[in-house]
Amino acid sequence: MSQKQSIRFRIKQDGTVEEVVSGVCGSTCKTLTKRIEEKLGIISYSEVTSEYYKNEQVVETEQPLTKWR
Amino acid sequence: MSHFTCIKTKLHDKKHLVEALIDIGERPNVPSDLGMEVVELVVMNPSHVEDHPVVEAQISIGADVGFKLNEETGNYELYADKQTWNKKVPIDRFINKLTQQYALRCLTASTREEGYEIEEQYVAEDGSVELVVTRWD
Repeated sequence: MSQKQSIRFRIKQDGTVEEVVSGVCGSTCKTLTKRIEEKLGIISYSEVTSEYYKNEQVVETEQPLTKWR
Repeated sequence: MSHFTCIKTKLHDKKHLVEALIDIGERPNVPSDLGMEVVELVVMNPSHVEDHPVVEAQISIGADVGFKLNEETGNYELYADKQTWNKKVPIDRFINKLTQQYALRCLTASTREEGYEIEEQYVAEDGSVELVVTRWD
């Protein structure tokens, strides 16, 4: 089934750009916009949001309980 | 949402830079169109360097404002004469306005190349340009 991908750009008055990618999960999301970002300039900040991990397996390790004396 | 990124725009592409200058109401002169590689600007009181009264520029706007390619960074930099600067806006504001327009030109072209279509484009209250592009995979 086809999926809608959307990129929202906010081009601020000083020319810096904020970009939000939605509709894509996992590492595909990063490669998808890499070429666009590289043509524009230098990445100063990047944050992965919750949807990134949606379709990727997360392995949880058990944490031993802290014992108090 | 999948990721949020901040990008500092660099004036890297000559074509988009010329387009952006036209968009903000300038009439840029590109020497290659005239059979020359560079034009010489007379910049007595430069905004960028202090010891080069004559600057060879790849894009010019008049005799004392132009853009020169910085070979090290691969980006174009503004050279202008502070004393004869007679535009409506100060140099800093001019650069910001140009960079914003350049970013819009650059993003419109690069997203189209990747198969995206513009879904929404408007100027927000704070003066920033909102651009939404989409595609189906």
